[in-house]
Formats: sequence, C-alpha cells, structure tokens
Amino acid sequence: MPTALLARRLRLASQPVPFATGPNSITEGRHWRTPRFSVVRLRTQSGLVGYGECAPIDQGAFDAGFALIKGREATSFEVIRTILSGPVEAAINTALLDISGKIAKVPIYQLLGGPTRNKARAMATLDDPKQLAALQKQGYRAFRVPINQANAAARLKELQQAAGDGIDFVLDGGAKLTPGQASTVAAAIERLHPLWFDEPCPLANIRAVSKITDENVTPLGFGRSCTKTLEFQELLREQVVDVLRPDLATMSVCSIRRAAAIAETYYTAVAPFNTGGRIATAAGLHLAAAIPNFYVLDIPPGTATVKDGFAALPTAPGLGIEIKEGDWA
Amino acid sequence: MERRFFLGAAGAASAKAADLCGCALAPQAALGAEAFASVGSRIKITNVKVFGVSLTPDSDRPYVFVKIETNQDGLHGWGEGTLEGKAAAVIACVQDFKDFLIGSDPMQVEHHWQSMYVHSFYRAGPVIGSAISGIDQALWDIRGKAMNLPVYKLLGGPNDPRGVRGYYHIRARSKADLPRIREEAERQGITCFKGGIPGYYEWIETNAKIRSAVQSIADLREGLGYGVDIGIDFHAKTSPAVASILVKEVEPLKLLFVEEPCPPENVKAMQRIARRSTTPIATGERLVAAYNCRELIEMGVVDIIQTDINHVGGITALWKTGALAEASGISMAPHACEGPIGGMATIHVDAATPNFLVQEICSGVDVGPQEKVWHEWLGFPAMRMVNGRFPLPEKPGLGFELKEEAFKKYPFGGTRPMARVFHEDGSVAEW
Repeated sequence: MPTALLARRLRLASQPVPFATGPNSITEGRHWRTPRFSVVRLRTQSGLVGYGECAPIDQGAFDAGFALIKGREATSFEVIRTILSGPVEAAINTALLDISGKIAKVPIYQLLGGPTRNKARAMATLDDPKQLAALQKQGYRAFRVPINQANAAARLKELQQAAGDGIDFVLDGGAKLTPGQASTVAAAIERLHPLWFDEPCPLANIRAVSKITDENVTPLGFGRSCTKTLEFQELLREQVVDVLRPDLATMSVCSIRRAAAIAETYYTAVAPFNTGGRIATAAGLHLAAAIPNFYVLDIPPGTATVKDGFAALPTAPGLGIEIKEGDWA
Repeated sequence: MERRFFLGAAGAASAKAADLCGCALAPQAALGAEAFASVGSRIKITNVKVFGVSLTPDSDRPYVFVKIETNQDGLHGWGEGTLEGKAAAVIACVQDFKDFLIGSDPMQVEHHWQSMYVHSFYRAGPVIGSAISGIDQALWDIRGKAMNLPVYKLLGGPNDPRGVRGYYHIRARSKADLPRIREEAERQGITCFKGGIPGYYEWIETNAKIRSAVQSIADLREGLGYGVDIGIDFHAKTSPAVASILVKEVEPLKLLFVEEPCPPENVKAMQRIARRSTTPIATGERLVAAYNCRELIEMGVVDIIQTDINHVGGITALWKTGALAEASGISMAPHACEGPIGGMATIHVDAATPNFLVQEICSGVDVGPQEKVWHEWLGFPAMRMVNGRFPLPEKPGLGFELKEEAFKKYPFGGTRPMARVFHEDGSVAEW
C-alpha cells in the first residue's frame, strides 16, 4: 500500500469513532446452544427482539461478540459486520436484520432492496436414495447427493431414472477427493448434466483446482469452507467456481450479499449452503430475494414449506417467522 | 394502464407454446407488477417526471432531476441523473424507462435496477447509466420515506454519526490565493483538498511543460502545508508516458492521490502508470455499473475508486462498487460534481461504506452562487461541510424536501456542449 494512504489509515484507525444511541440501541443479548447450531436473541432499548442462528459457538464467544456491539443501533448492521468475526457475526447479523425489518415494518428482503424474485428454489440433501420419493412428495425437485469417486456416474444415472423428468441433482464430493480424482469424476458426469459438482476437492491450491475446470465443463460449487468475502473473490478471479456456496452457519447475510455483488460481475450464481434450522433457512430465503444472482437454497426438510420445487418467501416484518424459544428445530 | 398490462400478461402466457430457435420472444410487461403481488408492498409507482434545470441559460451542465410519484398520499422520491453535456439524452432515456416502472412496486429497487440494465440489452454507457442513477436514487428516497428511515440506515450505517469527511476544490488562481484558503480551511476544519494541473498535454511533453506541472503541484503543497491531504486530478489530460513521469516526480509531496492519470478505457495503460510509482491512484468517475470497475479492482490498478452516484447507476451501483473495492482492500472516494440531489444521495452511501475515504464536492471554501441556489431549494446549506464533514441528514429517505416549483426560475436551456479544447496545431486535446 502506498505510504501516504497507509499513514492516513493508521492515523484514522487510532482514533475511536463515536456511535449514536437511541431507542434502537441493542441493550440485551442471549444465546442458546443446541447440538446442531447456536441461536442468539438481541433486544433493543425499545423492546424489539431479533433472532439469528449460526454454527454452534461457546457462550464465551457470544459474550465477547455481544460486548463489542452493546449500545449500538440495530440498523448499523454493516458497521457491526466489520467489528465482529467468526460464526457469531452470522447470528448477530441475522438478529440485527430481523430487528431492522421490524423497525422498518418490512420483511428483510424489502429492507435490502428486494424482492428480486417471488419464491426461492429449494434443494434437499439426499443421504439415502430411498428417501427420494418421500422428499419429491414433500415438494422438492432438486437434491444434493453425497458421492465418492467410484460411484458418482452410476449413482447419478440411477437417481435420474428413478426420479424422472423435472428433478435435478447436485453431486457433493464433500471436499474429500483430490483435484485429480475430482477431475475424473467431473469427466464421467459431464454428459449427464447434474446441476453442478459441489465441493469436488479441498480448496488447498487453487491452481490445482483449476485442472478440473480446464478439463471439464461440469459446473463447480465451492465455498462452504470460506468465511470471508475475499476468499470468494479469489475463486472468481481464478475462474474455478460456477456456484458460490457460502455457509449460512458461518457467513452472515450481509457478507454473503457482498460476495454476491462480486459474483454478479462474473455472471456467477450464489446458492447458500444451509444445514441449519428454521432461522437460518428464513435468513437464506430473505437473502435469496435480496440478490439478483441467487439460484437455489439448501432447505432442510421441515425448516420451510416447499411446493413444486420452490419455497414461499416470508411476508411479515423482519425474519417473518414465528419463533418459540427453546423449540429450536 | 392496468388493463393493458393485464392483457400483456395473458398474451405472454399463451405465447409460451412453440419455439424451436428462440424466435418467439413474448413481451412480459406485466410480470413485474403482477408476479410480486404476494411479496411486494402496497405502494405503486404512478408517475415518473424528469426535469432539466439550467442555473444559467447557457449552462453546459444542466441538472437532470427525476421525481417518482406513488399511489400513497404525498409519497414521492427525488433522484439525479445529471450528465454533463448530454442533458437532453438523459431526459429522453428516463422517459424511455417509464414503461418499466409505472404500476410496479418502488420498494423493489434491485429488481428494477436489474430490469433497466439487463433489458436495455446493449447494457449501459453514461447516458443509460445516468438515467438509471436518477431513477434508482428516487426509488431509494421513496423506500426510506416508506420505512421511515434515512437511506444510510437502510444500508446498515452510519460509520460515524458526525458525518462523512469531505474535500473542497482549491480554486486558486495563483500562489497568492493559497494563504487565505489555508486560513479558511483551518477556520472551517477542512482536512482535504483537490487541485488539478494547469494546461493541456500532448502525447509526449517537453522538459519545460513537465517542470511547470510538477512545480504547480509543489506550490499547492507548499501553500496549503502538510497538515491537509491533497489529491491532484490529472483529468485524463495526460498520456501514460507523460503521467508516469509526473506521478513519479511528485512522490515526495505525499499526495493523497493522483486522479485519472490517463483516460479510462484502457486498464492496462493505467496499470502501467500505477506500477511505476508509490503515489496512490484514484479513478472511476466515468465508469458505469460495478461490472466496469471489476478489472481495475481485480488487477490492483486503483487505490481509491471514485465512481459517481449520478452515472454509475445510483445508490444500488455505488454500494456494489464499494463492496467490490472493500473485498480488495481498496478505498472509495466518490466523485460528485453535479447537483445537490446526487450530492445528498452519495453521503448516504459514504456513511454506510466501511472502506469510504473522503467525499468530493465541486465547491470551494467560499459559498458560491450554485451553493446559494441549493440552499434555497432544499432549505439548508446542502453539501457544505461542518468541521470537515458533511452532516448526515436525520429525515427519512434522502433527507430533504423539494418542490417542483423551485425550478421555475431556472428553466431548461437545452443541451450545450462541454468545453472543446485543441492543441497548438489544431488537433483535439483532452481537458
């Protein structure tokens, strides 16, 4: 960085910036941990309440994060985004958006400039092929299927036959293959046209990953191990990704929205990864309706109603879902 | 109107049938309004008005203001799409977009932005970009008023409730003017200024010309001191060959940035200049949409992105260029040299942009005739700094009230060309 700019930055960084307070200031925070995720609740001075969800965190991580933001206005969610890090940022961001939507009396996607669509395409995880018919009956038309190197093409063909027309599959490598193995799989499934090949390999060496995209046209999904917008930027710059897969448990709606803005300039889709509960799914739906380049959201069965392959958008202010504390499904 | 849209939708649905080669494109004019009935607001756009406003009858840069009206009593929004030298073209383009908007929900600003940009097919240059900017700002003004929040709060700000740091132009005719400007800056708490380089530059320049340009910048630094930041706008007057020399020569002056060291079309040409010096490079005022900033940011050419809210595509697009820059550790210092509506709009984005550096306004330390008119229109000293910062508006939306009647004294004088300058041999020069 040029010296003048660096000097300025350091000078500014050393000065504490004041913040405004008022009825929308955050005064109280609470955290619950379940085996699958954590839930946070924030309350404003005026009594509005917002909820958010993230990967399981310790009470200490919540307390430390909360201490940094206490007193700040709920609507300053972009400022708070830069103050926090780690999964707690994701949960607190959703809670702030929930409150901000309630302040503005609109669903979160309207607060953020949407809706860009009137429903959101849904995807279920298909761990056991025997569940296919039941999940289809529940309204799903897209499935993420774990595969290994040996069974990928055969598994996809079987599923395509069993499911019939109008049902599509994402093959999930779970970041367990090497780039070389993943490239072999991508070649084997290329003419079967899965939606995409998810996490074909770990993101260790992007140059090695680019072997897969150099040799095949099977679209690739990456991102559930990424926690920063700049990691997505790097994947896009290196042209190794067709579907951004930020995990709602570890990245906030506002951070993913920024990654989506970058992806837009590469004509690339965003499909948030989600294995959370109802709050994370609702956050994903609002995000889907706030960005132009959304494609599909993982919706664990039971966390939202799916019909004809799509989930309806919540319409009440904030997250727009009813929450019973303690009943964290 | 509603009836026609409804029939349009029915037509689109029935035309879905046979199409082998993409030849059966069916217009879906109604889709926007009808498809969002269950998830949109009850607010509907009823009218889009556009005004050309010339402060002087022969102005080469009349303001282009957009007013969007709704079906809710008194709820309307203002935006600005001023494009210097091309006012009538932007006015016509805003009118072209009326059909995109009337009958639809103003809350869906991202959707409308996408539709205006993508469905314009050829994408957007400065004319379409400025028209989208005016409409986008007006939609955000409506959104803020409908949600009873200033726009910077909808964007997740403010970074600093005291306002956003700004800079004025130096506007010195000679070195003798500088001591008074410096005193005035200290009195007003101004911490940053911008100046330019005198004259016009050929592809290759003489020793005398180079030395005089460097001396003029050194004079500004000497006259204003090292206590303020100074940016120098080359205004794309220089070729990469000439700019590289100047940018390197002024390194000891510790400038905040050199702006537009060469014209904006060729990123690699600008990269060549940037790589040859530690002086920070700022550019971007002529770029439309985040798409056109991508390469500059990706290649690490720019240190400070300067997209303009009246051309880039309004609040929506300025926010996105800021997001791109943030992920690359690049600052944002938006350009603003048009009217007060865009000026107010840009403050809202600045206040919610973590990588914001400083905000321009094409004014000096002294209140000029233009600023007096702005004060008269908006009822407060718009775009005048207090303690070096532009104060944040408290009111919902963009934070001001404005009546159409205010423009009566300043009728549209038509489009007039901007400055046309030529070299000694009669060939075309950049200014």
